[in-house]
Amino acid sequence: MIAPEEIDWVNRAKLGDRDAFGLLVQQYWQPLCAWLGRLAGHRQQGEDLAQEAFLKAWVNLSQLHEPRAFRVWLFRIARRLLHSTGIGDRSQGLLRHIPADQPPPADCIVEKEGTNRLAEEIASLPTHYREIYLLWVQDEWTFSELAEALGLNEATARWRVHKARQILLERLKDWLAQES
Amino acid sequence: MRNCSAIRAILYECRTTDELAPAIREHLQGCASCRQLARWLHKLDQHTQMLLRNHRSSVPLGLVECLHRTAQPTSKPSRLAILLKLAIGFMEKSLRLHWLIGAACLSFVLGLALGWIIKPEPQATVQVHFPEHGKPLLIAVARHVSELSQGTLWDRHRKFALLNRELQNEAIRNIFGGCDQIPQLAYWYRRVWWEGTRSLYDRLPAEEQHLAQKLLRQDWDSGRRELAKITTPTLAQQEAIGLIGTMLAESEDSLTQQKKAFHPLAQLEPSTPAERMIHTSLALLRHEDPYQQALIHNELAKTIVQSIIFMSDSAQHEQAAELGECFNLVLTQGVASNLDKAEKETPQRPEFNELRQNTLQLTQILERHLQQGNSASQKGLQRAIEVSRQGRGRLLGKGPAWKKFDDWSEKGFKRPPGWEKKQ
Repeated sequence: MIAPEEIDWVNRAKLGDRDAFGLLVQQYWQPLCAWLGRLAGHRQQGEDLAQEAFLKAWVNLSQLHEPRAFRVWLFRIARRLLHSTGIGDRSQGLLRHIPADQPPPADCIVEKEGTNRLAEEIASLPTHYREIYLLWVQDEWTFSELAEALGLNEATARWRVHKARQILLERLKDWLAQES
Repeated sequence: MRNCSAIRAILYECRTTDELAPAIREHLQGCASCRQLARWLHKLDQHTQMLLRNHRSSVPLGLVECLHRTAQPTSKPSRLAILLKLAIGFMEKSLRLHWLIGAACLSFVLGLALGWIIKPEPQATVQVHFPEHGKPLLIAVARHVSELSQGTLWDRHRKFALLNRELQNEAIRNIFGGCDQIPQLAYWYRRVWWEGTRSLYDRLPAEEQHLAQKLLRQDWDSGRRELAKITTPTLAQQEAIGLIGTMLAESEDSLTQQKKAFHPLAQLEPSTPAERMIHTSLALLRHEDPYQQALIHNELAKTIVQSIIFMSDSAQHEQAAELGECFNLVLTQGVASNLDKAEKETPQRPEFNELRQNTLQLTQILERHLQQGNSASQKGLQRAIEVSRQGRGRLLGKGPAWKKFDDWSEKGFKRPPGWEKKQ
């Protein structure tokens, strides 16, 4: 759900207010980079794509009629960029090479192993399941927003989230049982 | 009552059980396997969220400005495109052929002329002069911080001054690398300056203060010289240069004008291992009690161990070994000798032993990693463990190692048992 102040930022940015667009960048940089990084399989590529997506958004902001839909519109641009470069389609299995930001705390070694396994399993998901699941899980996206961002109908979006979670659960059952 | 398979299909499509209808929640209370599925799904989502949050990335400094500039029509083809657009608009209004041809020719000539007269904005020419062979910040910080436990007041003052110099150099290096780290580096520079270098400077005798000032001035001057070499900086680089200039001026003014006032900085949590080490080392200045000092050194040792693992995982063996040396120093000079001092003052306190065991566990973590790690990371870990062996022995109470053969002739020094027989 988009916050009321974000609608105001979008309206101001449409009028050419750079600071308002800066606030939007601040708001969506992290989730967009995380999503693209995980889909592209490489952090740097994710950041490059995010930068390009924001540039496209800034240039074409006047074409956005409904400020409420900014988030969906931005992610749709990012997805189109990802697919146009072909990175998203060939990134399967590369995800495990994304290095962590910092060295892991010494007492979190076991946790790190579990997280690595989760990252590997997510990386091995087919792209159409991966992109929707990562988007669904990271923020309060509704199925209709997901469908719009990814160019699907709502029932397909529901089915893909269902399937992605089912596959992951099947593969990580033992680890989740240990965790519980 | 619905059956389990229908309930499960619903569970796979919802985020939390709070979203569910009361009838389904009632079913969950009665059915253990469905409840477990809901719990596992929740856990799975939580871990995935954490995975995405770990993927931290800050907005590059000046990105919006850069986007705005990129979106402006500054290049020659764009200017030409605007002129053509204007010409087409004009043509649509007046459909006569000779007008059309005339307008096309005019716009072509104008386009060429404007493109030639209005030069595109010059690109910043950035050349990296500075310091090309410097050590990474993490290693340099670990080196200085691990040596803080030994030496005189002057030595400690110099260590903090060197930390200041490393942070200043790193900030200057970052001007060429995107300027994104400069606000954090400036923050830690100021903290080290006011809490470490400056406060210890006041406690130095007058003649040492004179020398300290001379050395500090050399560092500031070299920083300013490097900043002056950047001839055509971009907007983000201009901002960064301004920030570093202010930072240096603040420290210089505090000495020349005898300013002692420290405007409290907004508390920033350390986010990188180097920042954590600096944060911990500043805590050393606030405590005189040997047990507290040992505790803080234990914290320092934890951060160094994490860094060793990180370095060896990324196959940086030399740096892992160098960190191993720092780890050794922290174990011997920081933890073990402070604990010995504390035990002399108040013997037989259980927390001393607890701390000793706690620190020993850090060496075990390194060893466990050596056994589990892949061949690429093993080399660095092995070297780090080798160089930190003395510190481990010291913690176990083995005392200092035997001196080398050449030193045995020293007066009153014992030879190891069985040495003569071996000869």
